[in-house]
Amino acid sequence: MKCVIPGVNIKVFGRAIHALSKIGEELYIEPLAHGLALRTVNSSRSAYACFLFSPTFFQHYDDGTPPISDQDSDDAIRCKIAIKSCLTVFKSMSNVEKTVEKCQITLNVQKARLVFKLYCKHGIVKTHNLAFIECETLQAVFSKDMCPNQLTAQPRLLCDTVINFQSNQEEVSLIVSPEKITFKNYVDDEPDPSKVVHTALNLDPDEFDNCQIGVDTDITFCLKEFRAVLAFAEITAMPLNIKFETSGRPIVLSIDADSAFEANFVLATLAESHSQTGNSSNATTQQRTASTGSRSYASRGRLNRGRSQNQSNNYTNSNHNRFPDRNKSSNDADLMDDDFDDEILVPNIARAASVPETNTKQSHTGKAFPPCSSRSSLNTSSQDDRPSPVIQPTLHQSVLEDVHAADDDEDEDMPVPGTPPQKKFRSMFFGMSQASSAVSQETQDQNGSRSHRQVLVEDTDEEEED
Amino acid sequence: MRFRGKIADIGCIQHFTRIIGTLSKLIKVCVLRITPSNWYFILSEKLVSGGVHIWCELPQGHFFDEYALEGVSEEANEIFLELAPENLTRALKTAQNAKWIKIKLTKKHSPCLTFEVDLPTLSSHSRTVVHDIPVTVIPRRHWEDYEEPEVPQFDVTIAMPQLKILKNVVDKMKNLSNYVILSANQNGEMKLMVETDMVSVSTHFRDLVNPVNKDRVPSSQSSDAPEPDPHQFAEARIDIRKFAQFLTGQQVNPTKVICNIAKKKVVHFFLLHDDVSLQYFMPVVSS
Repeated sequence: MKCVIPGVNIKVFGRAIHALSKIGEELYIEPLAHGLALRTVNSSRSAYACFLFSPTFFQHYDDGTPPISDQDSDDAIRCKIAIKSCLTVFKSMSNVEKTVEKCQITLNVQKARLVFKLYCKHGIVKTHNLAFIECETLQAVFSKDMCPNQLTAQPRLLCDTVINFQSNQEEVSLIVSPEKITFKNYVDDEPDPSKVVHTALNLDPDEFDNCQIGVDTDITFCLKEFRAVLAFAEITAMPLNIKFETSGRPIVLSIDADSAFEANFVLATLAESHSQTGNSSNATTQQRTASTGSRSYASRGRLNRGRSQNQSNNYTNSNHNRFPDRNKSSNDADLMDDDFDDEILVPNIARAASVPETNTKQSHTGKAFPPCSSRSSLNTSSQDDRPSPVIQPTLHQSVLEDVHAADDDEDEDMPVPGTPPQKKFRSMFFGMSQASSAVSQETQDQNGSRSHRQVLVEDTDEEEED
Repeated sequence: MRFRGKIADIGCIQHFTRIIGTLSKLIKVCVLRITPSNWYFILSEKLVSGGVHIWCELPQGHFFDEYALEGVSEEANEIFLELAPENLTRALKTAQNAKWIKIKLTKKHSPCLTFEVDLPTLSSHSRTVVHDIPVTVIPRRHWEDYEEPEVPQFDVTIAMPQLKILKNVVDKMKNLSNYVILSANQNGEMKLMVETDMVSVSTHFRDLVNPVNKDRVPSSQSSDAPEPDPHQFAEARIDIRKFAQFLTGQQVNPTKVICNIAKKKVVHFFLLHDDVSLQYFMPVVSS
């Protein structure tokens, strides 16, 4: 892969990296025939960002696939790098914009380096050699076309809106009806809602370039990622398209700069209540699992463990030796989203633990969109450590204790104690599955819940013996 | 109990924001007393928790274009609310170019002071943001806890040098000791001193003004007491962190800052800016 970004486009490219860095910690780079894809996903897997820079964006673009070989071959190199290292290349954007005349990006497979060469004024050339890791494609499954609600806004409008919220505000709710669009800060049950400032801002639909509201709805999503999207949109000054359905379904933000590049951001929205989303999605996910599926990985199973465990496991699987802290952070995110705190007792834990079993079974039959938590269908998460010789599970001790089980492919169904219970942000975009406690309950009933409770206890003991 | 007010002048909005900003730097939680003529922000700490008293007085006519108050009863036409000034600051953050701000006492999920801000827009649409700031209504039986603090007999009254200069000095001294000895005399001299086992640092200010004591600032020169020596320094040992915080938090440029020292009792800072006044009582710490 080799591409050259002309000076005029460096600003957009650099700002894209900045936006990505505010969302995820790893940058997935994939050169495609129709452009260079940069993607990331956040640590709690509730936000995904994808930029696709088309060949016309570049002065020169070569995706690096051999011209003769068939298109379907998996030979193309996909890699990921720590976003922080890439950020250093574009650290001071004002400086980069002023001095850099062109930027060349090459993938040096022999040396396993991604090379950024900045050709600056006065013949100065800055070269950054970044170590990368080979990985699978990061791909979120989402659809933009079927959304009943669509808004198009100038970034300025949304920036002016968002600035009214406190900087420590985690989530924002968007309440839409054909008459008005309201942004509110989302207040969780804790701390006491009566001790928190409530902020609401109404916008007239006329203030939007386009406002199509098919379904009155109320969705809640993370403000941090939304701010990152807006920061990028404001730089490009291009209208932002917002497409969404109802609570629990993802919101897709996109910027389409005619032919030059395309940016899509998918944010999970909060499910209204924990039992609500299940029934309808259950059927669809089951169908999906049945109808799809091609290859199976042993590791798939462990991904399909209960939502609660799934997350931290993913982390360990892909990142254990480099970012042990992330495990913690993802757990924190879980805690934040956890809505079961007050009601969770032993039977509930048992239920949560029984989810993985059933899901695992399902997922062995069908792969592409495993029914459980959507983040499990994120292709990379389970596999990206296997093709790479660089990361092998070596530092188990450095990660949280829960991880021991996760590293072992064999005991897939072992619940991980100490991991947080089910999340509210369950309806991720990946795999379109909205499996929830309703699914788990149903499956649990089929399989007999008591035995699962037994299993929980046994497994826990086993793990302690480890 | 009802209250509603509207501030429509941009200058007033900004001035109001700066005052609230200053307060939020000084205190986490304070009491807002609303009377027909004034707004008061009051902090009265118990002696065990530091003993700092703050009394900030805003004449409402200076800020509000509309002002309607219906207090607890006819004869006690006042409202006492406990709130976090920080929340007010946040609500006012985007109000700097607002066309108007409406402030209302509302009952939503809990008693709230609702700030309705009309934001500026490029288009013709009006865009309002509503902040509901939770407050606690203070029952009448507790009102007496928030009376204006009694001003003791001061030994020395002196106009302070520029707060910015003082801040720089105090910030350096903060690294040396936890306490600063603030002393001044009636001869226009003021001294800041920190003492440790290793070092003693003092900064002297000269040619300051000793305002003539008026009714608000009673002096020690009562008729029966002997005239004290104007060169005699009155000393007060105070918590340097609190002092630094007080100096750092200043967002209004007060026209006058007066420091009153009552030996072994209290240091009283009196800030005056237009009609707004802020009094800060800092207890003396015995060594």
